[in-house]
Amino acid sequence: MRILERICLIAVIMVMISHVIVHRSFAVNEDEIIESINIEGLSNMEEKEFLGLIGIKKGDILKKSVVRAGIKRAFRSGKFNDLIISISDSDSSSMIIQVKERYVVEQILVFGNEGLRRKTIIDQFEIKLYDYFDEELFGEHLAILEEKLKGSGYQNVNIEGKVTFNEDARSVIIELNIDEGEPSTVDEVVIGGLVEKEEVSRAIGVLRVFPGDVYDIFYVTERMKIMEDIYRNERYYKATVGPFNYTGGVLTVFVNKGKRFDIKFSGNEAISNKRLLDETIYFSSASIEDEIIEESSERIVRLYHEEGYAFAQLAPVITETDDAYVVDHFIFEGSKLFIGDIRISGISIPAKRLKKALSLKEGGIFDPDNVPRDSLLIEELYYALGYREVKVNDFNYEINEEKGIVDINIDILEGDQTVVGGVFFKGNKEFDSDELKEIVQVRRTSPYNEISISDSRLAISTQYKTRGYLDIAVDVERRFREGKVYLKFVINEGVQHRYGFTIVRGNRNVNSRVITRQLMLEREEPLDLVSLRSNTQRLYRLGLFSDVRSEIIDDELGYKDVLVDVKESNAGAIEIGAGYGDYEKYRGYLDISYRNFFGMNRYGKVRMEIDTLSEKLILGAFEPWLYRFKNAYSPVSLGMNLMTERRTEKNIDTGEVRYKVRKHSLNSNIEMSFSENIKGRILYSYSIVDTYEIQSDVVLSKEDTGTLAISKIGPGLIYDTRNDPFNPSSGIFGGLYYEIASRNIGSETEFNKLVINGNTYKRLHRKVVAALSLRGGLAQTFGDTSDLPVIERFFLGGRSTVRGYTQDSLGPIGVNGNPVGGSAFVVGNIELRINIWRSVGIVVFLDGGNVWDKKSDIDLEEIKYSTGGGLRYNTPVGPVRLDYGYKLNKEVGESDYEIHFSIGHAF
Amino acid sequence: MRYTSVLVMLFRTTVPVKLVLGVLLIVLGVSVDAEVIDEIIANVDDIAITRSELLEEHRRMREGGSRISLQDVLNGMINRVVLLKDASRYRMEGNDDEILEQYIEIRIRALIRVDDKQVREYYNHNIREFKGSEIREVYSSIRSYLIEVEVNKTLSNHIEELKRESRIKVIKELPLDSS
Repeated sequence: MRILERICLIAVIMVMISHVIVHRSFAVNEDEIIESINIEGLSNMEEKEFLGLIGIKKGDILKKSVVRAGIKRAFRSGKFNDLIISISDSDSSSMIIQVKERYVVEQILVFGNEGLRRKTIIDQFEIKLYDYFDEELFGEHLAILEEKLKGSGYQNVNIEGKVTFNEDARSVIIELNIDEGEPSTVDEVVIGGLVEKEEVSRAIGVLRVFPGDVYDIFYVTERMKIMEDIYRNERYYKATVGPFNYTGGVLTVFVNKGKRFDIKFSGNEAISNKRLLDETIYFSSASIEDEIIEESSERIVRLYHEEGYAFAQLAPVITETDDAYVVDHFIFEGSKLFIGDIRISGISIPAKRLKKALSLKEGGIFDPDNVPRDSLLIEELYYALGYREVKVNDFNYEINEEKGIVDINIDILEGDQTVVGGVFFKGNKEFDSDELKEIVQVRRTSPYNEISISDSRLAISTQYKTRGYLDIAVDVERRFREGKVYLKFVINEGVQHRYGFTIVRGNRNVNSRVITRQLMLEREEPLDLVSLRSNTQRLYRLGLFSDVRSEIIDDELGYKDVLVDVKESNAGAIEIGAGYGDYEKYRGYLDISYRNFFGMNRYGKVRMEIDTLSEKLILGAFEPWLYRFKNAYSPVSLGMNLMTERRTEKNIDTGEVRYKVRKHSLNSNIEMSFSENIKGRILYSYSIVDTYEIQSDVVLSKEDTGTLAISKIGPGLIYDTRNDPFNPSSGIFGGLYYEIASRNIGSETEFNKLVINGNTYKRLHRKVVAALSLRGGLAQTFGDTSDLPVIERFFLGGRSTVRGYTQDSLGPIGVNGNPVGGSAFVVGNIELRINIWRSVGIVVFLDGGNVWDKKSDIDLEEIKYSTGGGLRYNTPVGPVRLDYGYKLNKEVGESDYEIHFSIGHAF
Repeated sequence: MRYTSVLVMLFRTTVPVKLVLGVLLIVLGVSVDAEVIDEIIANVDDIAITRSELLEEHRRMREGGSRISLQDVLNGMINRVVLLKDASRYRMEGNDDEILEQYIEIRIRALIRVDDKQVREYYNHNIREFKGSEIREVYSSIRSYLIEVEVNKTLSNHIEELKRESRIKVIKELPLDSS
């Protein structure tokens, strides 16, 4: 009876559940305004973020299609197991959203392990910390782990897994209880295939498995691979280590070294054996088959050709000995040839222009392989100029072996030039023809050139993609008439797609808003594919992700959604550094930072710096997204730091203390980029400066001693097109900064200050970069402030300004010989940076500059010059440098030169 | 509240009421005081199939005269998602139907080979059905038929293979068919 009852019951329940669901789904009244939304089960995401993802908010009109799209979108984020959206029975304007978030692995605990290290177990376990937890796969993961640990020598291992669910936090704690059992151990190691005793013991030494060790298959396999590599390095290119077996405690590893390859060269003088060997492919292919010998020989001959040995010949001979295959390369080098004259006939364009395009240069090395290459280059150059029927009629050379000179004769049949007669557009609605004419690279009367046409098609296509025309197709029709080509760009615009939502996956600690805001897409606006790509790249620069991928997917509502997959990286960092500088001697720092406070990419740091002359403590905070103006290129950011420092300023020449400073300051910086290269900022700084133990001749005003409050504010504009901020080889870096200190903003001293700097960098040669810098500054006091306080004065001389002088030693001098700084300065530098080998480089420079007490004192004839050179060793954060600066305007009593040691370029 | 009271009554004599009630309330979710607009019923990896989609598709097919069950409609939808997911790797253009057509053409049909021997074997085995027609008269029809049979078989195996590589979950009980 009870069984029957239960069956009936289950049947009734089944009917009811299905009936209820079918019935309820149809009972919802669309077009109702949603007045309240109640979300249940959300723990790891803010409600605002969730509603943004689902695309429903209070005040919206209820639409089933929107609900469906929202559910599907949220599920795609990978953060949910289930979503149900309902309408309250009692209030049809009240929406209820029930979510089941996926569980996150909060902790993995390992118990019971003795021989196996915890790290080994965690590394082998496929479930990682902060992964989403899938209960269904848990058993499978345990079984895999067990198999792996068995392979590590614990054949009897048994793992029991336990999962504790935290429903509130939607997280789990995994316990792995390991019963290791008795491990299999190695009693004896046997090396098969080797006879010599020494070789066997050497092999065991490399294998690093000894009696008593646990029999770890993974370890043995890894060591066998290392052993094989060692044999290969010894030129046993067909050496095989393995298979291996383990029976009754005996581990047997079979080794077959095979024969050694011995590659020899004779008859070569111009090119070393090592270079020739590097050119061959015997070692990379581990073979001396006929085709490998042939390919290697060809490569060697080509190398000789590149060096100008046009007659070089090579004969490889292979012999086999008991333990090696020997490939002897007999080489005839011939004489080295240089190019004499290059004579070009049949041309209407300047020969100089053509010669510039050729690989073969007058006076250069003659490489016969460049002859066909240059023939093609000439034709390509002519095609680019609109000569569609150009032909290199003859390309011959005369060799004078005695002189080692080759004269080259080139005859060209140019044919007629075709120019563009007109450019037309068809099918364009979004952009008018005038707008498109600005975009394309072909103009009326410009030479007919397929590359420009292709670039123009791409430019049109890209322009359309900024307005959401993702399926844009551009074809080109060409009509030739009387030496002219008439181009028609036929445009099929396709549909304009509008942006819907951004779905972010893979973020655990970073709020999705950090990613969506960075993409700068506006809902229902045309999807700008070009900006999307560049903004996706910007996500990397946040320092929060090790991988970012974006994909455009179709939304249920007809929009284009952006699916962003991220892999978070570690947001915290601890840096410790030590160094040496010529002025401050030994120095060190400790920097602790975290760049994801509140999951919003907010940055905070504590930094301590210490050297023999100063101590500094900085507390810094940075909000990268304070506000974004509509259509602005970037958001406004806010940086703040609190700093306390104690500093001693010394006269380097005499070693005497000029003055000491204790400074507590608050700096805030509001910054915004106007384009990729231009940014503006407003800097405010409040400092309490205590200057003491000041040399009497350095004191210029009453503010120079005792405690002084300086409150200053000012804008700055920065232009930066450098390709690398640490080691630039091209671009410009310029800045204009103004600041004012006034009693109106709480300052005890009053002044205006303007600083301008402009640096430019240009690569002159593959290994040579020219760098030029011009900097200047002016300051003027006002009110009852007569002189700038010493802390605000300009000082010059030293490693980054005029390198023939010690730090801050230029400009006005006090009665005791101490530099007192000034209110105006100019400094210019020219530097040639030459890379000589890998990361090592040298520089030569000319510096000039000086400091004057007042603007009216500026006299360019007083500029102090120094020249010199230096060594550089490039690191990822700029070069380590050693500079020798020689004074060109040495005064009586001054040293001839100064040496500086520091990190980073001078400018 | 109407369903809850009935359930309590039914369970009173057989199993602990609190336990059953708890389970049922979880299963029914908001059914007692809310009307579901939509919910997830199944998923293929990160693609959700919602109840409204399933019912809409079922109704559409029924209106077309099919007596297909809800379960079969769901299976069909899952198969479709699985195929479309794989097709997305090939960067095909068009709506879902067009993409599926291109995908089957490239991924399945292009690999099918029916040779002369197979056509002749089929003809000889089923000669009675051709009622005296010469093989040359029915050759192309037999060939097309054999290709279709092979496409269906290969497609079916291919779907099964893709399904094995995907994570497919039916997370809700299917409603009974409403005919």
